[in-house]
Amino acid sequence: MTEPIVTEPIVEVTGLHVSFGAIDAVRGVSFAVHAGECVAIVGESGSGKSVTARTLLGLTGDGARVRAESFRIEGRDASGYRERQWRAIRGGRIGFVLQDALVSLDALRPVGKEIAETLRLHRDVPGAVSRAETAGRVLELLREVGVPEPELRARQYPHELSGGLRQRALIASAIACHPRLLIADEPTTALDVTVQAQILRLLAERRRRGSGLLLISHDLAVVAELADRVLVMRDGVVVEDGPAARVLRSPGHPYTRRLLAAVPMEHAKGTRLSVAEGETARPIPARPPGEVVIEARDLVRTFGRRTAVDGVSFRLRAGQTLGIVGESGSGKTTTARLVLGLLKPDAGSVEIDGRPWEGLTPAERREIRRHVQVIYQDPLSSFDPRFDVRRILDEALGVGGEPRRTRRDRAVELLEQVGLDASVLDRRPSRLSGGQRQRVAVARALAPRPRVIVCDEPVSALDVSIQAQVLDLLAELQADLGIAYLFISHHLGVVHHVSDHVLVMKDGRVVESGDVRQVFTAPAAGYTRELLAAIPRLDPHPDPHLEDTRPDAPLDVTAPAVRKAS
Amino acid sequence: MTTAAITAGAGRARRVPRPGVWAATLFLTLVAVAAVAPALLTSGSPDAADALAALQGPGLAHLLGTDANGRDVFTRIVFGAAPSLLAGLGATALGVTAGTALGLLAALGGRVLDEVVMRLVEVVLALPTLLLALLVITVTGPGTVNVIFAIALYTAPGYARLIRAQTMVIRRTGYVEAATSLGLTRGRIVARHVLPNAFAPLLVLATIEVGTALVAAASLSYLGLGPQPPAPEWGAMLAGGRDYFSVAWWIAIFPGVAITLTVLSITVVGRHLRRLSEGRAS
Amino acid sequence: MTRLVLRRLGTSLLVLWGAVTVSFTALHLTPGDVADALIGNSTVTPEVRARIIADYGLDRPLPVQYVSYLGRVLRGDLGQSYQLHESVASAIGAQLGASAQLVAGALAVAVVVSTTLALLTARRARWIRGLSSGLELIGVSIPTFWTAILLLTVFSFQLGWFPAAGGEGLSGLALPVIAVAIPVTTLLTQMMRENLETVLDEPFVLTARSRGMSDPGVRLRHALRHVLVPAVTLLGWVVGLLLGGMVAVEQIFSRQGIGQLTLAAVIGKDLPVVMGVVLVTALVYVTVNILVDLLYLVIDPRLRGAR
Repeated sequence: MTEPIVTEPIVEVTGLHVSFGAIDAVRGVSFAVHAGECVAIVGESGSGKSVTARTLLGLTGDGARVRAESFRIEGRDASGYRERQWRAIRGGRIGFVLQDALVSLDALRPVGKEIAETLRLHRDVPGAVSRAETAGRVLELLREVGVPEPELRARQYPHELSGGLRQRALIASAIACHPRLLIADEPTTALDVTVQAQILRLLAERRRRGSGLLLISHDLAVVAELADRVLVMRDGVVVEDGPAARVLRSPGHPYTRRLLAAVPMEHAKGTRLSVAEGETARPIPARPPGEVVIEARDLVRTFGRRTAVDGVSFRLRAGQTLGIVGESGSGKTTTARLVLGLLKPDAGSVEIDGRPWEGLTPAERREIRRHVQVIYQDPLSSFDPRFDVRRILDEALGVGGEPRRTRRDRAVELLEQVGLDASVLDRRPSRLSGGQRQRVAVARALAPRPRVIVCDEPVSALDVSIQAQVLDLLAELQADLGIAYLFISHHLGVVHHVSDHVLVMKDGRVVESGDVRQVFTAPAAGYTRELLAAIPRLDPHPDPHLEDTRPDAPLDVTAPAVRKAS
Repeated sequence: MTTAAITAGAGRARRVPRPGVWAATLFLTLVAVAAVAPALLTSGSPDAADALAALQGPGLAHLLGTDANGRDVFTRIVFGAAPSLLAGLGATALGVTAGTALGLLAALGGRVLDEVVMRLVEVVLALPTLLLALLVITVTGPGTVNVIFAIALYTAPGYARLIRAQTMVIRRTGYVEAATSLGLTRGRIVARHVLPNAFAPLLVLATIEVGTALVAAASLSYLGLGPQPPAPEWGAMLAGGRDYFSVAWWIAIFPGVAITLTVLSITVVGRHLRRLSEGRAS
Repeated sequence: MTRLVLRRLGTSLLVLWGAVTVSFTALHLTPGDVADALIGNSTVTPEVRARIIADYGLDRPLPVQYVSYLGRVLRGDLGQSYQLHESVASAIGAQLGASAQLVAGALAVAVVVSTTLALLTARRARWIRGLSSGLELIGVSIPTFWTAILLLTVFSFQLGWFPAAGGEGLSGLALPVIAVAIPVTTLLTQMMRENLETVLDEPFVLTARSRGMSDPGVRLRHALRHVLVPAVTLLGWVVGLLLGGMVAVEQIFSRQGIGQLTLAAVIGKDLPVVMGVVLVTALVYVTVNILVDLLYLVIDPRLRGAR
C-alpha cells in the first residue's frame, strides 16, 4: 500500500456535542488531526477535554449522547459506527494512553500479556502478527519504547515496574498494531519531572515517525513541548484554537491569557498569578527576613532498612518561605512530619523558636504545636467528616485560646481573610469546591496565630487557575502577617515562584540549597541541573523539526518519509 | 467534572427515601406496636385454644387460620412479635456493647492487650456461629435469655474487630493529624474525633445485624432451644406447624412471612441509613 | 512468602488451641458436677461414672485436667458419648460424609450461580439491577429453615417432584442444597456485583476497551479476576454460615449429618459430642482459611511480594 504524500486527516470532527442527561459536556467542538501532527487539547477539570478524546474511540461512556455535524475517521463517516466497527478502530487504527499506568494497566496480569492483548485482538489488520510471532513482537515493542531487558519486563507485573517503565509499557500496548493516531490523555501527569521528560520524548518520537498525536493535558508547559496546534477548552467549548506558537505566545482569548498568567514557573515571587479581567497585577510586597523560627539540625529518620531522611539541616526565618523540592521518595514529607513533631528523628533535632521538640512535657509540646500549623495536598481528608466549617474553625480557635463568645466573629474574620464569606460556616467541606476547601484549611491553620505553616503539596491537586489563587492568598497572608512557610512540592515551578530559599532533596539527602534565584539559575549540583532541564517550558527550545510540521507550514512537508508499516 | 457532577446528583437523589424505605418503616412500626401493645391489633388471646376450630384455613373468622390446638395464628403472630424482636434487639445490643468495649480495649490499651484481645476474637470467630450458640445452650439450657446471650457471644467479636479496625484507621487519618498539630490533647482527640467516627459505621451495621440476630434467635427457637411452648414466638410457631405441612400449610408459612418481612424491612431501613452516612462522609 | 505461610500456620494452631480451651471451659462452666455434665441425660451405672472420673481425671486439680484433655485431643481422642455408646470421633466420622456432600453441593451452586449473575447484571439497565438486588434482598432476609420448609411444602408435598424425607443420591440432595445455598448465593452475588461495578469503573478497563476488547471480554478476562480476592474472602467466612445452616436443614429434610447429630446432642445434653463437633468445625474453618490465604497469592501477584 502506498501512502499518499498529502493525506486527509486521520480524524476530523466538526460541531461535536456530547451530553450526559441534562449536562452538556462538550458543545460544538471541531478539529482535525493529520499524520505526523500533534494536536493538543488543554483545559481544566470539567472542560470536556477527556470526554472529547474518548468520543473519538466510541468510548464516551454509559448514557452519553453524541452528535456531530461530521465525524470522520480516515475519511469514513464514523457517526453511525456500531460496536463491531469501533472495536476494529480501537487499538487497530487509534491507540489510547491514559495517565498513571499503575491503574491503567491490569494489575493482575504481566505487562507482556497486556501488550499481547492488543495484538491478539487485531489479527486481521495490515501488519498484524500471527499467534506464533506474538511473543517476539511484544519484546520488539518493549524495545521500541525504550524498555531495557524486555524479556524480564514482559513477565513482570505493573507494580514491579517503575513509573516510567510502566508508562512505556502502556504506550507499547497502545501502539502495538501501528495505529495511525495515538491519543494520550494526561500521559505524564502522575510522573516525576525527569520521567515526564522521557515520556514526552517518546511521544515526540512517535510523531516523528508519522503517527498522529492527540494530546490531552491540563499543563500548558507539557503541551508547549509537543503540540503543533492547541485547542483551549473551557466548560465544553473551545475558546481558542490555533498554532501552538501563536496561542502560547500571543493568546487571543482572555481565558487563555489567564491560564498562561497562572503558570507559576515564569513569574518571580511577588507577582500575582491570578489576575481578573482588566485588572493590572499589583505586586505583593516582600518582607524582610525576621528571627529564626525553625532550626533543623542533621535530621535522620529511618523506616526499617530504608533511610527516609539523612542529615537534613536548614533554618527558616519569620516572613520567609523555604521551599523543599524533590521527586517522589526524596524524603520531603518525612522532613515535614519531623518539623511538625509528628515523628521523632533518630538523630538530630528540630527547634521551634529556639525550643527543641525533644525533652518537653506533653503540655509544653501542645503549646508549641500551636505555633507550627500545616496544610495538606488533600484538605478534605484533614477535616473530620462530621464537622461543618463552623466546628472546624471553632476547634482551632479554642486551641488558640480564643474565648467562646468571640469565636464566631473571629471565624468570620478568618474566612474573610482567606477570601470566603460567612455563608460557608454551616457547610461541610465535602460540599465545597477544591479551592474553597484549601481556603478553609488555610483559615484553620491561621486560627491559633501560628509562626510557621508547613505546606505539604498544598496546590498539587488543584487546577492551575485555582492553584494561582491559593498561591496568591498564601503570599498575601505572608506579607500581612509575617508568617513563615515551609513549602513542600514536587513541582519546581511552584517552588521557584513561592520560595526565598530552596532545598533540593534526593533519596533523603539535601543535594543543594541556597537562595532561590541562585539555585534555579546557576545550579551547582548535577541533579538540580537534570531536574531543571527536564521541566517542560512554555517557550521550548527551538526545534527544527517542530517548525517543519506546523499545520500552517506548507502542506507538502507534513508526512515524514519513514513509516514502519501499513 | 461531568461524571463527578452526575454521581453527585445521584447521591443527592438517594437522600430522598424510596417507596420501599417508606413501606419498610411502616411495617417496622406495625411490628413495634405489636410488640409493645399487642391488644391494639387483635382482640384475641394467644393461648385461647378451641379444639372445635382446630386447623381451620385462613378466612373471615380466623384471618390467618388456626393451629392444631385451634389457636388463632394471627393473634399468636401479633403476640409473638415481642419475644422475637426482643431476642434480635437484645442480642445485638449486648453484642455491640461487649464488642465495642473489647475493640476499644484492643485499639487503645497498648500492644499486649491488643494481641490478647484480638487472638481471643479470632478464636471465637473461627467457631461457626450457630454451633457456638449450640455449645452455649448445651451448657446453659434453653430459654430466651440464654439465646440472647449465645448470639451476643458470637456477634461481639465481629463488632470488636470492626471497632478496632476503624479506630486504627481513624488514628492515622489526616484529621487526627491535623487535630494533633493544633495541639489538642490525646483524650480530646479520641473523644471528639476517633470515637464518633468509629461508631458511625458500627451503629449502621448493627441496625442491619438486628435482622441477622433475629433470624438466628428464631432458628434456635425453631430447634426448640428458645422460649418453650406454649409461648408464642415466631420460630417456635414455625416448629409447631412443621408436622402439619401437608394438611395446614398456614401454620408454618405465616410466622415465616412475619420473620422474613421484619428482617427485610430492617435490612432496607439499615441500608438506607448506610447510604445516608456514606453520602455524608464522601 | 514462606514467612507468610508459617505465620498463617502459627495463628491457625493458636486458633485451634483456643477452640479446645473454649470447649474445656464450657465443660467446666456447666452447672453441677462435671461428670454429670459429661453423662448428660443418659443413665449410667456407678462403675461407668467412676471410669469417667478416672478418664478425665476429674478428681485431680484443674490445670492437670486441662493438660490431660489437651493431650487427648491432640491424639485425636475426642472423648466418649455416653448416650450413643460410641466414641465421639466415630460418631462424627459416620456423619461427616452426608454433611460434606451438602456443604460442597451448596458451595458449588453458590459459586456458579453468583458468578454468572454478577457478570450478567453488573452495570446493566436499571430494571435488571433492580430486579436482581430485590431478589438478593429477599435472599438474605429469608431464614434458611423457613426456605427449607417452603421448598419441602411446594416441591415435595404439593408437586411431588422430590422425596420428602431422606432420599439418597441427587434427587434427595437437590432441595437441601438449594435451601443452604440461597443465603450464600445472594450474599456472594451482591458482593461480586458491587465489586464488579467498582472494577469496571477503573482506568485499566478503559484501557482494555481502547485496545478493541469487547465488553463481555473485559468482564471475563480482566474484571472477574479482580473480584475474586474479595469473593474468596467471603467464601472463607461463609463456610461457617453453611455449617450452621445445615443443622436446621438436615432436620427438616430428615437427612443424616453433623447437623442432626449436633441437634440431638444439644437436646440430650450430650456435651462430649457438642464439644467434638465444635472442634472439628473449627479445624475445617482453619483449613479453609489457610486455603483462602494461599488462593490470594495465586490470584493477586501484588500480595506475593508483601510480607
